[in-house]
Amino acid sequence: MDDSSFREYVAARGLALTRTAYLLCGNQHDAADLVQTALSRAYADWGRVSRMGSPDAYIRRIMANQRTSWWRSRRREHLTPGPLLDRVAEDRTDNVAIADLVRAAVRALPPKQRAAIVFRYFEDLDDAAIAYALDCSPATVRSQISRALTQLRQRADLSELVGVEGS
Amino acid sequence: MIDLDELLRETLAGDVEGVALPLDLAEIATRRGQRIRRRRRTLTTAAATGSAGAVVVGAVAISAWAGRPAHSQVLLGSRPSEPPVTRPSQASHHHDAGLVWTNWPTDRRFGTAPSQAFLDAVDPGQPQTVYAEGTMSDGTEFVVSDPTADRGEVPGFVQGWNNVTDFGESVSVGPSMTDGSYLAFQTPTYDAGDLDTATTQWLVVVGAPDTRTASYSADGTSWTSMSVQEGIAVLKLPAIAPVDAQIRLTDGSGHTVQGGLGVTGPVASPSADSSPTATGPSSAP
Repeated sequence: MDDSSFREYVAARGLALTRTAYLLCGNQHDAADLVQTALSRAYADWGRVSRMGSPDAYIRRIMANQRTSWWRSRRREHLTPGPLLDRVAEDRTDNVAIADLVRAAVRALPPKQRAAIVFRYFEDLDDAAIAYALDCSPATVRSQISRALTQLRQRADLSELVGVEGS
Repeated sequence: MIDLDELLRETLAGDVEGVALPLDLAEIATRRGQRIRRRRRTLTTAAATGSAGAVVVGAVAISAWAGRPAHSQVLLGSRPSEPPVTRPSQASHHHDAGLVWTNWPTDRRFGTAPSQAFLDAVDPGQPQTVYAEGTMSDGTEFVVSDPTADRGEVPGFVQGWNNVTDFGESVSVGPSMTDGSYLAFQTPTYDAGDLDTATTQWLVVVGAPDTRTASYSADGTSWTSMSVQEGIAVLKLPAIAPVDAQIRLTDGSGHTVQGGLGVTGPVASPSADSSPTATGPSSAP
């Protein structure tokens, strides 16, 4: 197999994929592992993947699935709120604190909702593209995003800032 | 009030500002990808003893010895490479020492082990944990087993769960698999082995636990049934599967999925094998 096109792809898209992986995982270490895992699988099927026209879509899908798998296997790790939540709760007045709140809230979402939020608000993907990445229907995507937004709005520490839906 | 949509966009964009490209990403991904490809194409055949000592994914085929049926073993375990066993003379073992998994669901375990004589012939003196076994259409017996559980090692091999095809290449993935993990029943996982000299490929598909039948097609037209036990489907191919090969799995409720050796998706309706040469599962659970 000619590796050059794969390497060119990684050179062009590696950072963007890593950023998405970071938002899915929440830390650089897992993000690196996630993007490596996804790219290695893409490499294994590169002949087919590169013909798809959008390797990004395929790799996003692997990342989303893999991230969910990790979340399941490491769920216990994610049930304990980190110090971030305590810190930002003390100071919600400046932009940094607000960003911290939002970040913490997004990270607390279930993996599919979180992925849907990342794909929608970071990657600006439409419902169909997100549906492919999450292996679900576009209607499910809309529902996941809606639930995620509701959950974010209902958080006590965010509700004052963004308002509770319907209020 | 702050616009939540806008807040999310700004926060997520700001969150990744310090994210750097992992060092040697292309190199690492290529290496790992090559390992996956090798593992897919890895097979030991009865004639492959010359390659004994190589470290590849475990798939062992043992040729027939005089007066006895052909026995074959597909290993799910991992351990250091070992020299070939002496009986039967053409047997060889190959193992991937780099694979580590943490769990294998007990409900995937096939309770009835083949005879000790069979196992001794495959791997003398080694305890075997058997996950599935059966007889191929050509009379070859096979066993999917893990010979290393007693050493604290666990299967590091093919499993598909939660739509993820994972070949065990990531040691950080702990597949604490439950029935719940298989709800989607979408991506069958497969593995196969060969050596450079291989003329035969073992195709192992680990489907959802309730997978009842599995079929293989090299061209998407003519289908051959795979032997299935405990959701694990096995088929011995006379050559490496072509890239366009298809797998079709059906669960107990008749739900059928079909796809290539990578990504699969549901098919419109359950369909029967079309090949007149298809043979049924050796013994469905």
